[in-house]
Amino acid sequence: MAKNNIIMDIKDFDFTYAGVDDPSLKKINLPIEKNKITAMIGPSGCGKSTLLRAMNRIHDLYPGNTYEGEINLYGSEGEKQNILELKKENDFIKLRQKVGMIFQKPTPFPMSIFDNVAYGLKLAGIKDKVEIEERVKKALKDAAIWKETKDRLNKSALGLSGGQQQRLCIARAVALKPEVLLFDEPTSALDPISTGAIEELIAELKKDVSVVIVTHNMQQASRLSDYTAFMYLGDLIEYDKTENIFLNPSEKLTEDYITGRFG
Amino acid sequence: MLNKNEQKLREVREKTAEILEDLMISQKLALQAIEACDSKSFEQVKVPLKTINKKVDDVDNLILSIFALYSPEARDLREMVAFLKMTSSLQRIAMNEKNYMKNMEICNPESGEDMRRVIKESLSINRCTIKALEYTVEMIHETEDKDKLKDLASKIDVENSKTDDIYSLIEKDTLQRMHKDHLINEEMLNLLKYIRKNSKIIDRLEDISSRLIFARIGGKL
Repeated sequence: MAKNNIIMDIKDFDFTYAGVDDPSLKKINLPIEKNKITAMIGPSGCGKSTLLRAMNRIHDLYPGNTYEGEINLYGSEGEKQNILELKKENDFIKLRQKVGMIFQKPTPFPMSIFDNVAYGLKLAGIKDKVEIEERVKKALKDAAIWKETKDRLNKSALGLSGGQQQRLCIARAVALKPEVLLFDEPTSALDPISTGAIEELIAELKKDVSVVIVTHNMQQASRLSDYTAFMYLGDLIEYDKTENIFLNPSEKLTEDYITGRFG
Repeated sequence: MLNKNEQKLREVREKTAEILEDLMISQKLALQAIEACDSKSFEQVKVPLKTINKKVDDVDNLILSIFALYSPEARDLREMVAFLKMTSSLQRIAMNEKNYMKNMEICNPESGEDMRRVIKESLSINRCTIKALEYTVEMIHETEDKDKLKDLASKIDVENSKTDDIYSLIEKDTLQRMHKDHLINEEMLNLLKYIRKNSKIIDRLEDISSRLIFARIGGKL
């Protein structure tokens, strides 16, 4: 049974890509706190994106990968579900509604702004047009893109700027009222102003959802997150409150990385 | 900039102003105690000073975490460096006040008339210090209006000059009296020393005001 403040709990988790002998992630133990932002940092190839993608089983879009250990997702009543036990495609879809993902490059569908957000809702079985309209509007407002899009909801989403497209993707995820949102370097393709807007949005979103963010930008991790996990070569080296990681890290490896001595 | 960062900066300002207010309360109590020459009131003066070190540590740690988490730049960077330097001045002011009060216990109804007169005259320095503390608190809260900041800084300078003049007058008068009586009064010389130390508080407030000018307007530390 998890403590009330934990939404996800990763226990002794190993992950091996198809056709590879050695695991890319080894014995990872990581709690994800409810309504907090957890940042994952580490040099390229350390396994942070692999871990993030395991958290909503997106690896299963490709066959042959193997998992060991547990990734428990806790419900509002404290009931737990080990997401690694899911096998049916329907269960994966439900999981991805609860645990949404935002990618590095904005991925709007080639359809209208409205339909981009409504798509997930329809897929989730919502048919009532009024409800869909209300939820689309609320999601766009929550993603701080309503003002820019309210007069062009029927226009193609591809006409939006990169930052706007990313916020639209966040709106698309938020519309499904997820419990956890996973961000895989969400601002690395954006300019500083759009980055600022997305960061403010993520900070706002944590009132309603728990956030896990993978970033190469150390300053982004430090200013945005409540907890930080440092990974290196498939191991979780250190996990702690962000202030401790950036001020008093326990591990020399962590200190060397955040001070730019390697990586 | 994120709100979180701005909130932390505001917290630093508020906590620093709170320390200055404690110092001001202590100075006001000291003034009352010395005016009344009442040894019991002297104890109360130390109360606001008891927590200064802890409060200064809190501000230092807050600034440290701002550096670690938010990498402040330009104006924010100047402000944080300035406040970090200001905290040691605040600690020294508290120490000056403590020592001053400890030594001013010589003031009691049994002290000689000359002693009481010099002490009474020196209280103008305390009044200048209280004014300078008020201006410094105002400077902490004034983050935008550069003219007002400069005006407040020059008011602190004026109070500092006044204390120098007051001290010179007291010193001159005391030495002349000693010369006239052909007598060296050790106790009186010590009293002058304590008064001089008290007037150093305003020097430190002048340092703080120049740090605030650096923080808000720029230039060099």
